[in-house]
Amino acid sequence: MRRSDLGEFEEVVLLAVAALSPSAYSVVIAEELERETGNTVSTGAVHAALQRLEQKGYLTSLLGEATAERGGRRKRLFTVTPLGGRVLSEVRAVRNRLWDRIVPHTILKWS
Amino acid sequence: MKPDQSQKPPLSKWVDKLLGWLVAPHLREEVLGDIHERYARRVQRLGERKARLTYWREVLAYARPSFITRKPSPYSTPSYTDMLRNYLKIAFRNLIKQKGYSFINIAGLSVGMAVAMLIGLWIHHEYSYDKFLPDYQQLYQVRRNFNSNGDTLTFTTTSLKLADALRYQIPEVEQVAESDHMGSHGLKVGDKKIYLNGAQIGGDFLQMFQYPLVEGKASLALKDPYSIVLTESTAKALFGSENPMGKIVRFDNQNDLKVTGILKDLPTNSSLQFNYLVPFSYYEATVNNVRMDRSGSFGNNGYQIFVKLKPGASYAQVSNKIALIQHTERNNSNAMNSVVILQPLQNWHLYSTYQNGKETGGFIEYIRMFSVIGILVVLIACINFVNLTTARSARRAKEVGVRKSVGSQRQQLIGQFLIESFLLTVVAFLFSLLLMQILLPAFNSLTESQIAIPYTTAGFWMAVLGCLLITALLAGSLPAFYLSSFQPVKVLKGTMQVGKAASLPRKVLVVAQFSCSIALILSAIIVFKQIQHAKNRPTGYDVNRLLMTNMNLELSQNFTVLKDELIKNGIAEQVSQSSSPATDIWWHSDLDKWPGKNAGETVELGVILVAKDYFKTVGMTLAQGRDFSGENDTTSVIFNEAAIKRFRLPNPIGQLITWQGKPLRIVGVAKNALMQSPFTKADPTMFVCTSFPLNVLLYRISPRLTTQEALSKMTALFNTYNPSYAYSYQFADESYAAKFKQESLIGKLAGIFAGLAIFISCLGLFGLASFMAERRTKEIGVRKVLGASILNVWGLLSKEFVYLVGIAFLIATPVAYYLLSNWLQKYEYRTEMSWWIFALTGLGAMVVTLLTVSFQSIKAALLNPVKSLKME
Repeated sequence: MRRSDLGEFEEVVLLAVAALSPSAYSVVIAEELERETGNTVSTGAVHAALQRLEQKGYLTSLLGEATAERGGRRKRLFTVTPLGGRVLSEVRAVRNRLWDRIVPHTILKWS
Repeated sequence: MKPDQSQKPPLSKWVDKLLGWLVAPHLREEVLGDIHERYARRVQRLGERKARLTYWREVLAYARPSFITRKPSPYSTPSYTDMLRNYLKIAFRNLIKQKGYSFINIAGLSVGMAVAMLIGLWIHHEYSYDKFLPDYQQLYQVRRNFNSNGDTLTFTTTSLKLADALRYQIPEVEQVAESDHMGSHGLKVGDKKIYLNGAQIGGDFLQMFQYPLVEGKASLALKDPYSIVLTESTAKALFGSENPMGKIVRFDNQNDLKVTGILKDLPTNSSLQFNYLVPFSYYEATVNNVRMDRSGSFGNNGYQIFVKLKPGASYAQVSNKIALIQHTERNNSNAMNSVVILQPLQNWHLYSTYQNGKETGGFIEYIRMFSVIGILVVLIACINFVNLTTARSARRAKEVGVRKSVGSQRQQLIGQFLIESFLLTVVAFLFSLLLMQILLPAFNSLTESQIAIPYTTAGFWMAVLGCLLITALLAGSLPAFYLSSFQPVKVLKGTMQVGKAASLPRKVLVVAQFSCSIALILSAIIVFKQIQHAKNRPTGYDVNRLLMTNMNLELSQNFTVLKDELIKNGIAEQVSQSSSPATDIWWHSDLDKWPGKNAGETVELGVILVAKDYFKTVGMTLAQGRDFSGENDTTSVIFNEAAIKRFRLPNPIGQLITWQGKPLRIVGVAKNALMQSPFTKADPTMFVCTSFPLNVLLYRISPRLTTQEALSKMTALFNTYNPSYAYSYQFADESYAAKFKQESLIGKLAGIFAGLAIFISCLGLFGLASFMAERRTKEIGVRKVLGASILNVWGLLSKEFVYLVGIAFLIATPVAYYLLSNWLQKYEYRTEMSWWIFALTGLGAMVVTLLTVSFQSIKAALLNPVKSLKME
């Protein structure tokens, strides 16, 4: 499995989809990320990342219901595919392994 | 104010539209929805103002390729080249399968295109005159408008005084160069003598007119009065392969001039043509009159002036200042004031005609005429293509039907047929290049230019490509739209009568084609007739066997001896001299007084100073009175009939007139002679006898000698009595014929192009006729079985075309009549357009049509009906 094709922002978006499942779509993901990171996140950026992830096979999507605030337009809801899930946990495992190797002394120095 | 849920985003309408246009269709719904929802949520959370601020950033975030890229169509889209290859293949097969039609189409188109390209190159050449000079836009020639009793006459002759006035009084004038009339002078180096025309011209000339110098410096070459600048070929003629710089040339056998510069030979598209330049200061230093003219009067108009305006200054700015410059001068001894105007260098070549003091045209009219002819010829060739293709549409109908039922769309079929016509045009273009290459030498010698096909210029290829596309569209669009409109069901069932629908436009096009051709032929005939008419006009003197040699000091000293020798040896019948050649008038002047002169009346009158025996030599006859009695008869004057009429002198003989302060008595009236334009009335002219040496030696060689014999004898004599100069002469009949040069050229070109136009039209007619005959083979078979004669069948097939050409003739005649009578208006002496010319042209067109059509119709009529009915 190619690890390199998951960018940092994509990874965060993928995680957000997993967290917000089953009602994850670009607006809520963008707001969620804004809340978590404190940075402004545009729906366009999120949407583009979602498209890329779907193309890579980490996400699937279907059209959801329409609401008044969307001007009667439907939203596209995303869910993580098993492949996406596996990639996510693999990324996490790599991180964890590296974290585990950091000597506690070093972490102490940062704080 | 609390925003409600359905609050519309700001600027919603057009932003929605913009996004809807930007974002790929399949993403539009979700993207727009997201934006609206995000905005609505922000309004709730942060208030409308903050939401509005972030709104734009949201919108802009969608301007990225992943949203803009359109989703590929789910249907198969064969790559464009696949079909292209198929179209080309089919087009080539058709070309090869139907050789006759292909030949007619390609031959017609390539001849048409060759004609159009030749005309195009020629026009380009005519427009390129003098544009090679770097500052051509700032260069002008001074002209003056002279009021001759109500008529404004425009002259290039000006005074030296005017040159100085322009130089010192007009700040916008950067440089001024005065010049003589660029006549011929003798140049001698050792034993080498040549007699060539050149200019004595102001020292700044080479800085104004930056003709490329091979050696020397433009600013220095004409500084010293005793210097000379040669063109490369003149230098080669005088010095051979030696380096001429710094060497000495004997000028007019008077002074030694040092070569200070070598000019590249002037290109043919230079309006000024000279073989060498001598500083004007030399002219002033050596000729007293010239020196005096500088301080003399504005009326001594014997010079040309060239002017360069400062960069940024335009003629419009200075025109008012210089117009009346002659009038500002006090103590102006000459009362004849002119209005001074400038003509831009770029107009010299094409706008040479002045009327009422304004540029009215000139060669440009012919340029326009030939552009129209070029376009017409191409149109005629395009019509061939249109007609033959639509006529033969039955052959392609099945193909169209099959293509359509397999799924071709109409646009694709249109594309296919356009590609076919483009291919044909390209093939025709290649042939036309070949044709042009073959024709160019002949064309160049006809137009006296050096046109080459500019293969290496990008502009040429751009123009060619543009023309090819236009031609292909012109020729191809009608057939393309017609052929692609077939309904597959009808075509494949065989119920459609192909060809019926296109027959009316076809007839219209044939009529258009022949109207153009007939109009062109009429024009060519009238132009020819006009030239012939002017050529046959009695000139009033005899140009045959009359020779002219420019005088020089030595020749005029030995004039009497030479004259005796020429006559004694039976070489010449008569010898005389005059101030202008027999075929021109170099001097125009005004009379101070004449009987019956109105106050303030001025008249422009040609003045020719003559020696004894002038009238006998040029063969002019006197209507009244007597010839000059001899060299000393200097108080007499002879007027021509035009002058008598102009001055309203009922009994001219014995009347006294005053010219240049001198009283002269009219002793004779000469018959009018056409010394200037053969197309206008004879100029009012007066002849004054003088014993001073004059400009031109005139002598008529004896009819007993052949021209060759006379010339060899004269060369010997002239070499004895005028050893310092190379013997040069000009035949008066040749120089008279040169007056028809422009008209002859136009006549010849019009004739050639008209001939080609009718050729192309007939080619098309031939194709159409053969198609008609082929289509009606069965009908003819049946008719013959039932007893029709060959004549009947021939008439049947030819009738239609004769009828069309008849209509074309009826359309072309009035149009041509109108245009040609307009053209003839500009000639004072013009031919009439007799009805028989039109009748003859119509008859000719009819005969050509019949000949073209008859070949096919007789062939069809002779066909054995058994065979034609057994076909299939």
